[in-house]
Amino acid sequence: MSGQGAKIEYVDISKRYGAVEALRPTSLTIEAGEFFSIIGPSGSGKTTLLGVTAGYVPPTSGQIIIDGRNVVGEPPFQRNIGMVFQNYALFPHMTVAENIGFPLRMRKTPRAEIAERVKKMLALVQLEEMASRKPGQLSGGQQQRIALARAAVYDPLMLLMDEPLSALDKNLREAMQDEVKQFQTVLGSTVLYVTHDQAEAAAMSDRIAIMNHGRIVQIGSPRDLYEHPVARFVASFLGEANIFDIESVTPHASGSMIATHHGFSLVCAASGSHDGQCVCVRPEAVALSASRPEHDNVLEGKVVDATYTAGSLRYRVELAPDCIITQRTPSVRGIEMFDTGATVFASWRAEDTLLVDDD
Amino acid sequence: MTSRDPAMRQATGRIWSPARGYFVILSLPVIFLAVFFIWPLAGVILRSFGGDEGIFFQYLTVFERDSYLKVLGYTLQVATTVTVLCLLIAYPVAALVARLQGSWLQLAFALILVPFWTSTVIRTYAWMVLFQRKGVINDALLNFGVIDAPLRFMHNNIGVHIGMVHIMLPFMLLPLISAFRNIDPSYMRAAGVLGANPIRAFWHVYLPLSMPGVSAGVALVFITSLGFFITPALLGGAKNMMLAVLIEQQVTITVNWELASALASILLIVTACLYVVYDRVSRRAGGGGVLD
Ligand SMILES: Nc1ncnc2c1ncn2[C@@H]1O[C@H](COP(=O)(O)OP(=O)(O)OP(=O)(O)O)[C@@H](O)[C@H]1O
Ligand SMILES: [Mg+2]
Repeated sequence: MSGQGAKIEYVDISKRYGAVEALRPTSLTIEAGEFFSIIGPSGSGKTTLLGVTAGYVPPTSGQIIIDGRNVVGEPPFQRNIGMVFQNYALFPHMTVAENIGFPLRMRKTPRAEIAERVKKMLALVQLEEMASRKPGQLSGGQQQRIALARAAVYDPLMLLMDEPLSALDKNLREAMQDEVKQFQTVLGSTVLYVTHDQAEAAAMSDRIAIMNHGRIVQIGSPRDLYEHPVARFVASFLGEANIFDIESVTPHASGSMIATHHGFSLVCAASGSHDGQCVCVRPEAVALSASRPEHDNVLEGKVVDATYTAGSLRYRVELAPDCIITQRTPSVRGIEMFDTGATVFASWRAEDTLLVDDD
Repeated sequence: MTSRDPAMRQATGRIWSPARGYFVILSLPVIFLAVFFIWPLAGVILRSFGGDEGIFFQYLTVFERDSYLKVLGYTLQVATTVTVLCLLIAYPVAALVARLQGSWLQLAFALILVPFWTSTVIRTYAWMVLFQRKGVINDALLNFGVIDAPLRFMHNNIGVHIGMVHIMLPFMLLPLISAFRNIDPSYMRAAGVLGANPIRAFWHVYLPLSMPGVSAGVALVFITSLGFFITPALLGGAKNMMLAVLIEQQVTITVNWELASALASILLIVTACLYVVYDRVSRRAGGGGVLD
């Protein structure tokens, strides 16, 4: 049942609906056995890319090469790709076992083998006792697992998943993330996973592509994208970011000195022009202290909001009249909390002042 | 003290439930049906056992005489054929209409509903104009030299079938369209991705999912056809008569009210029996009952 998934290459693939460019020419390679996620806001073209891959959306241009073979033009039923739909699309008139067996039946697999493989799949998703139920009699999480089993039972070249967990509540979603990931590890399949939840993508993926307006803005590992965003959109879409607009940039001993719109200047390790760029500082990179510390960047401010959330402290600090930054520290036992209204010093290293494209 | 509290009083006294609300809403139509439908129907059934010759005389007459049974058989046959023809014509049309959007959908619905604006009598007369010896169809065929002598379309099987299919078609189309529109397009998409070619996807997914509409449409058309009067009366022949036409003759020509009542009661019982059997079968076939 397990095997190595396929390698898939998109070459200038695009899709246009009338005046809407749902997918701009995109090139992308997903390695065999990779767990690859696509995140992006609503309408950014994620589902379109999956539809083009599965074959039910004809692309306007470009090629999709799966294991060296261009599949553009092949109808979906010849592509041998597995897909978990957002609403699962389990056939309501078939039992769970018939649903999982459906792709095998379409491939004219002998009955005995179908029964055996369905049983194995049900064991893998731990729902053996549900075999004769109808999908309508299952919970959301169970339906999700059946959809997964049905998409994988025929050893497809790759698995496509369109926001498969979005219909589940938070706790179940987190449990299912682990299950989906484990499922993929056991089967060794290539997975193209779509979500708009950046935490979900970060938890599961080898690499993530961030899409916006039908285009991939950046590709990288979850850590890469978080620590080295190339664009303002990426920085603010993936986690929290403090963004400062740039007034001017001047060279400096340890890189450059950046004057912001707010009157203060920041030291940055990188040197850049300020054309079309802005500054991003992650909340975790900032430290707060009651007395002025020795650091690359030190700014005095006032705490306007202090919240405690599971495991971390989150402050909103006003540095200038229209400039409030977010700061986050893990809460360790006995840590002193600043009160709202307290005067504090926010500081961070020159390396943490990131220059990103201001798209 | 607690009884003053309206919430408490409601909880301890008359408990409101949705069923009670329905009862109030339903009582008027129930009274209306009882007075104008069930009461006359009971009258018909009672009269079928009346007459001077004994309680079961009318029924014995019907079952002893071949001619009456033949009429019943012909009625069942016509209703079956009309239902099958309607289904075959309506299924692809409904599947197409169900895919339309916006103003195209509205246009399609308007075209389906337009016939309801004209009475069945007038539409049947329209067929008579077309079907006559010197009607539009015969004239056209003669002019183009397809035939040498006018064909008979009326007062035989052909006329009855064409006329009835035409009248019944909307009753098949509407439940089918409604059922098709309820089929989420993602099912067919999923079937394709999972390896089903269009024909197998239709057979294994679309057709089963459309069964509720099929069973509703079939029941509607078949049962209405069984008791259909105007079109068979105007387009049908004297040789092959449908039951409703026979009943009407017993009333107006022979003035045999008891026999007419017995025939009507038989039609009612046959219809009810077929309905129960059909509901069971379609429920077992997985399409859900007619009433679901
Ligand atoms: N069948 C269609 N006809 C016309 N426009 C379409 C069609 N399908 C998608 N679009 C458009 O293409 C763009 C991309 O849509 P797509 O469904 O790929 O977005 P998405 O990233 O999956 O969004 P979501 O997160 O909301 O699912 C949108 O602007 C959408 O309106
Ligand atoms: Mg989508």
